[in-house]
Amino acid sequence: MQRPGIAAAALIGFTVAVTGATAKVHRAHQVSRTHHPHKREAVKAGANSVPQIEMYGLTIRLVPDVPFDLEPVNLPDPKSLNNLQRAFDILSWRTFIALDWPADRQGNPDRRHLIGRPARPAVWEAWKQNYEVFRADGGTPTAWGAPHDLPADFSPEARAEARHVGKSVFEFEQPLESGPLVDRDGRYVRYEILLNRDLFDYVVSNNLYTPEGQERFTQSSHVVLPCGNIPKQVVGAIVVKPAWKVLNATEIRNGRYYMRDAVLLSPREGNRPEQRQRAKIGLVGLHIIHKSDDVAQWTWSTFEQEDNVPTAGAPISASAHFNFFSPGVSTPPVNTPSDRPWHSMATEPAARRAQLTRMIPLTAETRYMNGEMHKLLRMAYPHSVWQHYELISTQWPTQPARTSGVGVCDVMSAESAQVDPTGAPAPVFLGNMTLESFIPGEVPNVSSSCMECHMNATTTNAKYSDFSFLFQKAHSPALPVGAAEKRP
Amino acid sequence: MSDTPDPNYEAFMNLSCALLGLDRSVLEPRNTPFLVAKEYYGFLTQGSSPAVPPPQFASLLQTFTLRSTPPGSPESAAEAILADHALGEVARSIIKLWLLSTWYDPTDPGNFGKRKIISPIAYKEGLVWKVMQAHPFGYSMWTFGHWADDPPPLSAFLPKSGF
Repeated sequence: MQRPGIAAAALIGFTVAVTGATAKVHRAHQVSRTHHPHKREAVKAGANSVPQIEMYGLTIRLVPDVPFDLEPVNLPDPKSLNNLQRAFDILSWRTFIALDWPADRQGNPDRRHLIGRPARPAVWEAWKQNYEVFRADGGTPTAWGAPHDLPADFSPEARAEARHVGKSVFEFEQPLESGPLVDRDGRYVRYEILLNRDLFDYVVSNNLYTPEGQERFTQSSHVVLPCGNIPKQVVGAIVVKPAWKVLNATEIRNGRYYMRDAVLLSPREGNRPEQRQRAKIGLVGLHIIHKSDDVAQWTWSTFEQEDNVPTAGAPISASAHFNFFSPGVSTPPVNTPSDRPWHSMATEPAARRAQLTRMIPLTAETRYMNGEMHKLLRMAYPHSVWQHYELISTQWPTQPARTSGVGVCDVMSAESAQVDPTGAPAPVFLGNMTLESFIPGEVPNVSSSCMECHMNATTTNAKYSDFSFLFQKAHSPALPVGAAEKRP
Repeated sequence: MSDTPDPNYEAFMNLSCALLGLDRSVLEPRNTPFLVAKEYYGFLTQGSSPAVPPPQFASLLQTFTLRSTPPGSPESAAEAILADHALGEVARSIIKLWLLSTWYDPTDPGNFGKRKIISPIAYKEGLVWKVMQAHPFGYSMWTFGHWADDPPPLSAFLPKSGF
């Protein structure tokens, strides 16, 4: 059965508009809640000055608006597997563009400029870091828009330097403790996880940032994170997970990376003191996941910098340079992490540097779309760094959870979720070589599949948590000194 | 694979429906990211050593097509094939293929050492798990704690309309 949301989207038309008439209708919908960092406003530039391209007979415009939900493509048989994949890939690219748009001082997209303007933080960089929401001391998160701050276990000096520089990174382990990714220069890749406003508000308003709050909440309910919705013009929950590489001098000069000045940090551990170091870091991977009314199991988009890795079986030119692969090197084995110990501030020897190979090639359709989107990005800035990023794919539920009068966007209330809560993801497997480096392939429950893995996510008290592992990061509020001893 | 229907593939699917008593939408749901039917057909017919010798597979499909043409029916054709000494064993292996995603050599079906699981991803698509309202051994897509609940009704295991 077709949901009203899809039907409404089909009637409204798209930002990916087919005709001028539908574009006009869409712009009429570009109004949103005032608090949102990527709120909808009418595009200030005239329609003729907004870069746009034609693809699949559609017009795609370079605008900083996150799509609220899936908008079907206007092609014959729009609900075939291939055309739905196209629609999801377009959704991914539009979201990527909106979130990488240069931000103003408040973190909103700066509509005076186009994406690709150098030396400007992207919109998502103003979002809340996971450790600011799920604080190590179990405290209440600071308000949306408050300056970023490191966890309290870093020294005041480190926190001050991080505030001064404006960016700091320290996480380096991949999921399931599967290991760190060490680049061909021997440097560790760092990760962040950031939450958008709608997700942040849900966590805070329901006191889900502590185990105690989660226990109280799940006694009478379960986690249902907010959904994007076209008629309501709500963005819904979005999480981004960037991967950063320390850039060498050549990479800093070559203009192929979205680049930031940052402080690399390693917390004090045992006898090892806290360490910090300034560096230029470049974005090498980016997950974007977005929950929306028609896609209650979330849309899982993943992008990589194009120099990351070769594809298994594909020819490699003699002049090729990769971030995570050296031709002719046999140690360590391909797609295998280095053994412990891991120390993120070290420069590892050659034998401990990753040798990664993509096992599932990008499809011809995805490569085509990437090429077209790169053309669009070059219209804004011919040397835009974003033209060096490629969509790997978008994973989505072919059997999306449908709820009717039971709950909104609640996977667990949907009949289809009884048998397969993941909704039979397409493609079956998807991973990012910088974020799931060591589990590529095509073996169920072993190889990387965003939805198959995240379906197992729970709160700290083992209750369903709507595909989000974030809730596992909650800590109990810190007790005053001596209070623990007084507990019965 | 081209968009032009392969008559042999069509005959294989019709035969499978008749042997299993299931609608084609169950065996070949629309918009499925992994179409196990294509994998099985490829396993049976392609590669350097197809699972069934090509002349025998052609005979199987031809027999089914002829006998299912009115006044015959797919059901009567399937019964006739199952009663046939040579083709019956192949047909039984095809039934087990769909149910268990495992190939039993028709020339030696009792020899478990000759069984072959088609692929890890096909394994979890075996129809037997749906029929018994369960999940495959070693793989579950259900949420943490599902073992404390009753299994979903059989109707929930039928293909859904999707988008």
